Amino acid sequence: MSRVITSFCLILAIAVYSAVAACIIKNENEKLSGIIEEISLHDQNGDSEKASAAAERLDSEWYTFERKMSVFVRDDKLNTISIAVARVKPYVTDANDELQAELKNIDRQLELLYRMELPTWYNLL
Amino acid sequence: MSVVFIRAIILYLLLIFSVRLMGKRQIGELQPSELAVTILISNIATLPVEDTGIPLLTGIVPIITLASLDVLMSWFSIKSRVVRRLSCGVPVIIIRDGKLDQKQMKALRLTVDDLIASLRGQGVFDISEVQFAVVETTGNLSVYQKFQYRNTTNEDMSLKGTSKNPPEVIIADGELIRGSMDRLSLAEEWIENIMKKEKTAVKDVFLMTVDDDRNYSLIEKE
Repeated sequence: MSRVITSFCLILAIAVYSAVAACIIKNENEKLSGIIEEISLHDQNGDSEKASAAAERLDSEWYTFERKMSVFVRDDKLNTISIAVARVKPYVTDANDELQAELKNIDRQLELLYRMELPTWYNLL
Repeated sequence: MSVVFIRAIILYLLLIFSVRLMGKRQIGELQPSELAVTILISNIATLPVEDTGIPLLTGIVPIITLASLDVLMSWFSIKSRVVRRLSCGVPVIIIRDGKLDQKQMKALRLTVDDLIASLRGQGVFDISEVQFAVVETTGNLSVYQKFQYRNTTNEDMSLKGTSKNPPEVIIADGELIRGSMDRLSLAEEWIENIMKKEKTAVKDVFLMTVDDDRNYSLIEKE
């Protein structure tokens, strides 16, 4: 009977862990999306100083998030976002017109990261 | 490289835990569901060891899930006959009253060669000696021979005697086995007396077994 109880507890713990992982990803995504939106707004308003500061924040936030995420997600998916995040600050400094596209790209990648953790039918199949 | 090394250790320990969780039945004869779990677990475990880009948890979670589901499935099988039939199948009689059921053999995709080989494995070399044979859910063949071919038992010979438990190991490699001592209600004084009588000490004994009647056998370390 102890085996049955242990198994039941393990299954329960995995279910809870999966839900917690999805919540963590959602919360962190919202935080990063907020920063991305901030960079985008400052860039559109021509405030490169504020945009640069926000880009700095995005970089450090992503660094923390990436380490947490590497427990749940494959490295290659995170590497793609890491490369895109690394481009943001130089784009802001150079006032590169690809900045908005890059920000949109990061935002979409983050959204995908969260969506892939959800047990939807298209993910299951 | 150290990541692969540590991951391998973690997965090794996890696999031992999983197999222990599934119980001793797993090591012996496998039911269809247990075979599926064993194959899956062995494959899943290799992925995070080989590829460090894959999070270790993507290996740990399915292994624990499969092992736990196997235990829960076994529990449900004990509780419900329907679940048991679904997960393990049912034993199939292929020889009844000495007659071979060819229909069942076809259903099981069992060839005559397979059947003869299984019978030989049971010590039966002539199919006409078989009264009854069942293909168990594990795939093993259980054979019940006709009366004239069965081994003679003590009861057949009207031999009298009592059933006794086999001797238990009391000292193994210089260490006392407390569980066995408790089962046989042996006090330490009794063992000390034996040691004095044999002019040895517990630490110098390689193996000592004792039966229900306190008859002992002692082998000293070389």
